Amino acid sequence: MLKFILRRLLQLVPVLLILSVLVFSLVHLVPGDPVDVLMGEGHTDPVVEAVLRAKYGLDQPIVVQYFTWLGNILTGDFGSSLYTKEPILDMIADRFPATLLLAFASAIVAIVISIPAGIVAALYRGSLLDFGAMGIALFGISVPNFWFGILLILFFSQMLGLLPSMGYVPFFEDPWTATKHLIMPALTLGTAMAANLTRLVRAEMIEQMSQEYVRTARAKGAPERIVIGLHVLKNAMIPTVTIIGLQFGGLLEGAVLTETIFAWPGIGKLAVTAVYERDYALIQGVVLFAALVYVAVSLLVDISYRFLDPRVKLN
Amino acid sequence: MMISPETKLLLRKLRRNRLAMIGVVLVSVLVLATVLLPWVLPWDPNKMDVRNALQGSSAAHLLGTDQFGRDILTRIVYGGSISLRVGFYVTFASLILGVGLGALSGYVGGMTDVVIMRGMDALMAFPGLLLAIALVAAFGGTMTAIVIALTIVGIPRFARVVRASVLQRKESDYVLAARALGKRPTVILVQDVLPNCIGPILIQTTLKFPTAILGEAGLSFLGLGLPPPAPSWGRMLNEARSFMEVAPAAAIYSGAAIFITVMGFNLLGDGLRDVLDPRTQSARR
Repeated sequence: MLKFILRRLLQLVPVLLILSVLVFSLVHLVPGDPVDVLMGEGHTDPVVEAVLRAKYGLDQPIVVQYFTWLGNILTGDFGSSLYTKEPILDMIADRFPATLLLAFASAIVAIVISIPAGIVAALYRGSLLDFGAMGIALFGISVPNFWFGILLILFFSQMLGLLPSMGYVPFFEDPWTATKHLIMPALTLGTAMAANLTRLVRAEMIEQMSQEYVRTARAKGAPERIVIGLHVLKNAMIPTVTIIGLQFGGLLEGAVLTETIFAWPGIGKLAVTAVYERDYALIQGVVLFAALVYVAVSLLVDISYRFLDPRVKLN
Repeated sequence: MMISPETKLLLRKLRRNRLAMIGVVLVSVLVLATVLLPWVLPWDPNKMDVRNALQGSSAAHLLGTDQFGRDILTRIVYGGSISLRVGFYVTFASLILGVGLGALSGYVGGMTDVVIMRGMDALMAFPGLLLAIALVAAFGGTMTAIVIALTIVGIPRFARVVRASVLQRKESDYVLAARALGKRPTVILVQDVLPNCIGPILIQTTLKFPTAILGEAGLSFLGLGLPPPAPSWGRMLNEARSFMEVAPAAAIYSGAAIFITVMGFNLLGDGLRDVLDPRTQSARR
């Protein structure tokens, strides 16, 4: 097991290197000179310019700049925001709990909807229930989540006045108010994941139900409850857990739009604000951070997959 | 063009797939509407008429007017051509580049494979929309920038799908036979391997289209799409948010336009997958 984890970590090295080059070049793609941004409009003092260049290492060759930057990242220094001058890692650390809470809540919404729906659809394949579940899944996959969120606000906040239309309350400060704020964003972000998972659970169940071991279990007289509940479900859940993990990384992406709609102070909203303020250093930091989270989650999923499915050989 | 018996069979199966046919109808209606309606509708999508702002639906303005008195239906129709064009360019570009890289990776193997696939892994690690936002922020909100950003996000999936099916076909008898006949590797790849990977490529293509449209809508919703007054659906939806309490129509209709378009392509994609890959059939065919 340890050997597998080590090998998997080693495989990550080239991916992370390419990733770092991509993120680094992102800022250097920006037309114009970063020094112009730092100096502000209308300032052209060559002495100040030279000082700034030296201070930020911009007078160095690009390769040197990259390795300096990489070295800083490796020691946990993501640089500072061009706009607020705050350390970027602190800004991310401030917002990450909100995003994490939203992502977890959305994953729970998705799991609670999709697993029963997928199982029922598979068991009553071709029935109205199946058709209904697949119809809702199609809706979930096709609906733009920013529109769905707006419709929820329109209905639950404006028409019924039941839920607050925006804002965030830390969960441990006031769980009840926090939950009320969380419901609509979590529904918005969880829908697409729920739809994908419902399809997957259904497909996996159907696949498993046609396997030999199911016929054997039935032939030896095992009650249907046991056949489905124990054998089929267990085997269908292995790929499902993997996909839940992988989609969890994908939730970060949806968070950008969802957080914008509900004024949710997470890293998605931070990224959008950074774009509006042309704060390239901050954009770079958030993109890098999100990618690292994704890589870490994929690694965990990969490792847990080996635990869940003993058939997958460790080497 | 000659249609092989296999293609005919597939087309017949596709025609019998009810959901796919609904998708075909939706997509055709949309394309026809964006092409033909501009000739019929009397309004200019960007002409402001502030005295008639935020009107409900009437005979003159079927879906009402927005905050500047512009006809919502007209703007949705013109917005459709932006969405469909972005969808088309992005899908086409990701298809060409993704198939190229994937085929190279799968067919040549070795170091080439390792380098390309690790690059794709790195690209896939970025949350797609976040990467697109960063790229558009860097390049500015032009059609080209949007297409490049969404294409970069779209390539890896194509490359993976193509690589996997090339690997699967590479050792098949007809490829070995072609090799024994002394055909050049590039010729084998283009003539014998890729045509047999057309199924997965086709499915990926139909599924890329709606993702690209959603991507463009998301970008323009965040204010990173084409600059105003371009009537892109995402921007319309975002602008309508401020007037939602008095006039929810614009928000509802522009979002519905995105939803219906995306659903049309998804239905078509699902139908194709049912026909080409019977293992994953949906509820009713």
